[in-house]
Amino acid sequence: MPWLLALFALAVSLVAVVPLIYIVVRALSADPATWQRLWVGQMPDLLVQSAALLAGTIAFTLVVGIAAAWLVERTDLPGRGVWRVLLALPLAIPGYVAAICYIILLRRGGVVERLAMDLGGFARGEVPLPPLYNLGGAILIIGLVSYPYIYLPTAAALRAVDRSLEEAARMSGRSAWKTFRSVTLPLVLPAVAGGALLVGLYVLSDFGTVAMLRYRTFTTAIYNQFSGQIDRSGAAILSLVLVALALPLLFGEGWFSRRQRRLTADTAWRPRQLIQLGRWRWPALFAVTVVVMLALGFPLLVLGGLSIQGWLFPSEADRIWGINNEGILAFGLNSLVLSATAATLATLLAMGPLYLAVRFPSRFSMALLTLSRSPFALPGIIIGLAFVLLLNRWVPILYGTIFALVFAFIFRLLPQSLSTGESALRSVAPSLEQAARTMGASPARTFWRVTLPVAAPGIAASWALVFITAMKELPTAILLRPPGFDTLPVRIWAAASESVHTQAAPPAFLLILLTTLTLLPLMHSRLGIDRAMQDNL
Amino acid sequence: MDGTTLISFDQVEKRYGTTEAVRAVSFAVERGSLVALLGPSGCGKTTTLRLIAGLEAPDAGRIWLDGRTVAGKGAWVAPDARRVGMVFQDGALFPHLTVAQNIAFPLNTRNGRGRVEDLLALVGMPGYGERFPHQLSGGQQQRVALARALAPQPSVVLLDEPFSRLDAALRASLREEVRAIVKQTGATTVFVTHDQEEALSIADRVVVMFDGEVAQTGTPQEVYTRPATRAIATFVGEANLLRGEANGLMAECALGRMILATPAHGPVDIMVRPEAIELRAVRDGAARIERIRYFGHDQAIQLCLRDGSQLDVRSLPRPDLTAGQQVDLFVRGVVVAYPR
Repeated sequence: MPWLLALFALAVSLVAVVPLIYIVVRALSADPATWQRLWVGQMPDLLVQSAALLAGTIAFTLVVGIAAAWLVERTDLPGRGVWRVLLALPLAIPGYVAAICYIILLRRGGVVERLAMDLGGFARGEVPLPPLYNLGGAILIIGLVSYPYIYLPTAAALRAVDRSLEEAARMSGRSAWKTFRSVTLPLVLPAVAGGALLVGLYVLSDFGTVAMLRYRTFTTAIYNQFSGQIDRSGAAILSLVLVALALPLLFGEGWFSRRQRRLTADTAWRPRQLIQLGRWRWPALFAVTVVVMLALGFPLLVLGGLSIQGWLFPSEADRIWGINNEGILAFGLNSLVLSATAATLATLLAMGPLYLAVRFPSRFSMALLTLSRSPFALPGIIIGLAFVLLLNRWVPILYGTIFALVFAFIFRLLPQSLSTGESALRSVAPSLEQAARTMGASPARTFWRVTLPVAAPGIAASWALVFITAMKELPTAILLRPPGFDTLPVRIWAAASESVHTQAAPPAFLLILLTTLTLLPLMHSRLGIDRAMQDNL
Repeated sequence: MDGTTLISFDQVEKRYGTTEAVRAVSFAVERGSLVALLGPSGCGKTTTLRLIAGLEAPDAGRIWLDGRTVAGKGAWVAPDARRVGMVFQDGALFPHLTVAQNIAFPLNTRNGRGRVEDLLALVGMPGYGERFPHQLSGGQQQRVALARALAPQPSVVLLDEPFSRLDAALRASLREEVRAIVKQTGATTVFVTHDQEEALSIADRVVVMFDGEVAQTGTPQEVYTRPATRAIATFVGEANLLRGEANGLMAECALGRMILATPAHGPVDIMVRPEAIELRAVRDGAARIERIRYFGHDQAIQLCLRDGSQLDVRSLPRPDLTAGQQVDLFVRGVVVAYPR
């Protein structure tokens, strides 16, 4: 084991666990009275609320994700090539943006009410509008942006299932449907379950969506504890409980993604026979259209429309908020530079523990990998919080600087870089590196000239996914941004917390435009997103 | 359609995009027989097998199975309703089920248990029911796959190159066992192979396919000794092709006068199998030994005739023959001629 690499990996993984350790220490050293107050006053409510949101969202995404994957991969759904891509794109839409879009649509005086009054002859206040600020609204909106976590790995697993297994089931007298239920579904179940746990982690760590929909969960409670109190150990206590909830999901996800690889093998060279939908063709097409419209179409239409309206006919509010092209572009540039820097640094840092674990597997290297992955269980709000507390205590000079923000972002992104980058590194056959070594290349030169170029497509895909996460990241940015340095999410958040949602439209539109455009090329590359998804996100 | 025919293909065609995998294929399989579909890779033999199974639908033509039309002329019977068992190239055992669960998969749950034990005994693997597929060797996996295919007592068992992933020794012993097992159950069996030795040694009848068409159908002896075309002759075994002149049942060539199996006239290529040639060492013969390759149980001898042409001969190991020696040669039995 090269000691320089080991030292680098050790440094990365030790630094990665600092926020987690700090949160634990801070929570455990808190005043017992604070524990008592929170345990009795807040915990039962928060647990029930979070559990309901978790169960509802997972159920919703399971139905949508599995059905969409099956329709696109296994049936003669018209236009399946296009739907395959469109169905994955909501991954690029942050939950809080979807929430804002539906608030604009469905609030009193919103788009739908005005349309109903103009066209349907309803009186003001009489239009029946579905309520958004409740459990159902939160499930729907979080579900619409998180079902790709199930759809993508399930679709990839459906493609990977050895087709002779299904044919063997048909030859054994099972109908097409029974074959799907008794053979295909059990085979793709690890992928489905892994995806469901990722949805669970998403739900637990989500802050923006539930904050905008005023649904109380741990993340919003932590934020309130943090911003409204002088003693911040209450926030640490809630964080500790939230991490304890998230850890089983994280370990479960890792367990399922390892099972996945053992179960499927791809030997298909003939085109798979597609299931004829027959008269279910049009209902299926309708269902897929509804999902894509709700998750992708409406947000783009509403936000795009409002942005253009504000740009062509600026209102009084627009003038007060100073929404203009230069402003929006400056926020966009801030977001781009911050996200690109953090994503690049996170990808580079991840290479240390990853390369060590892939090429020199041992208990030591695996432990380092697990340690560096541990921030995955930390929602962005907790990472932000830990950084604020740590910096204030030890290096107050850094607090409120761009360095602190970049540093916190790297932490937030590191676990994802590790997960998505692992498959890229594993795709490089050791014999390639050994061949380079026999030809006299040094280890560093081998990595630079052989490993990196061969793994490049996978690493690029990994970087893009990490970059998208960084672009969407809200809580870390809110807590740590230097004064005057607004990113797109921060700007959206500011407008939405003042309840001027229309002002959030231009930055939100620019944000999802940028993230969607980053995601789109990944959908075409063979080394792309579903591979990375299968090796968890 | 008489009572002894179980499977029948009539002008069946199958295309993948623009490639014609199978074109105008017709043949029949007798009830209870063991038939080999033999041909080089890409000849359409696996597609033919999958057409019998119902895993592919023909683009034209008609397929009969057990007295009814299962494909063509508007008819279509789904694979699960055909009462056909299939063994896939890689076994296709369900990795999430045990051996017993795999075998019981096509069975009704009620009478499952005892039948599974019987089948495991039949394929020579009693007591393996609780293992998982990944705990078995390649040969064992194929046995379990066969047991699963036989479980519902199908009228037809299909095998898609079932031995191709095994090593040579295991392949030879397993194919004998498989023949014994399917004969014992009385199931009609169709198997695909590109290995002529495999086809000739265990099949009752051989269907030779080239380029998506049936080139010849016959017993192993017929296919080997009377190949219908030059291509079949060289594919099912080693063959010498000699220029000659035919006149009815007689033909003249560099080896002298020979008896033809079927009458021909004019210029022909005469096919002589290497083992049909006998050599006698003489001082001044018709040919000279160029090279001898020794295999133990026999040897391959390369001859150079007076006119400079090459000839391959197979003989038992003979200490009296060495390279450079002059020999005379005789052809045993009748030979086949192809018009030139």
